[in-house]
Amino acid sequence: MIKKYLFKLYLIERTSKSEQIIRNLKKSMKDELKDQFSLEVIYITENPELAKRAKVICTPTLIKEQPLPVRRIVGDLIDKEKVLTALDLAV
Amino acid sequence: MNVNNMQQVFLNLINNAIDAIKDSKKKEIHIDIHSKDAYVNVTILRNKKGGDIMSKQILVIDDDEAIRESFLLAVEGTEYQVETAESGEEGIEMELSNKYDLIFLDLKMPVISGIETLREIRKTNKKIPVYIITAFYKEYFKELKVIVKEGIEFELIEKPIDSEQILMVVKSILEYPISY
Repeated sequence: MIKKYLFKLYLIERTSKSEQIIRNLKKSMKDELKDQFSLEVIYITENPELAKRAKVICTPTLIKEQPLPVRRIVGDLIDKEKVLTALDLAV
Repeated sequence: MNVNNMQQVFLNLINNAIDAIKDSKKKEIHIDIHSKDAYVNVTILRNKKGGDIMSKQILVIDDDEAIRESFLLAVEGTEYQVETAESGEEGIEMELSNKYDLIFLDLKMPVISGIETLREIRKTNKKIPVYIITAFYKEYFKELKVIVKEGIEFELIEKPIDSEQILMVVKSILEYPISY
């Protein structure tokens, strides 16, 4: 099934904080986008070349690749409301 | 006294109190205003870190003067205040003042490395956001994996980075997430 929203999340490594970010983002996205999204997680320490190619400048960074335009979000990704606002998904 | 005059008197009271607390060592100032029908109590609190009430304090620890300068220039004219340290040792000492909201820390430094500096900082401050400044190359990340396993929290910011990007990252950490 083709997902309408494609996200990539760039984190340092598997940590309790990164797990919390992933959990919160998945929940926020599910609440707002139902099953119309996919979230891929990339750990920069394992794949720095992917981060460089994606022009990631800091962690954590969330990139919305689809639908266009591509948007990058940096900052506190734990707060649901702030992230949804940055993504223009807040109701 | 009409409403506009009252507002001006009130504002003058508040501004005088803010000036007074800046110049003194007091932690708070109370203002009580009584009238026949109402009572207003205002408490002015000194910023706990001792700086200006509204400014956020950033510490940049890097042995490279050009990097330290770039952070200073990036936030010039903004509400953020940057202080710099040339070494891990100096940074650790400065951090003990507990007045910073954010730290940028170089990974590769002589004598006390970025890793060791971070370990020391985390002994007394587990909450302050620390962003390690480094090029994104796998060989640099080997030592970072060690401190991740120790449960030490930090984030990464890429080197090189320009002024606009520095300010954006600072705002995103200290204010709200930024989309670009």
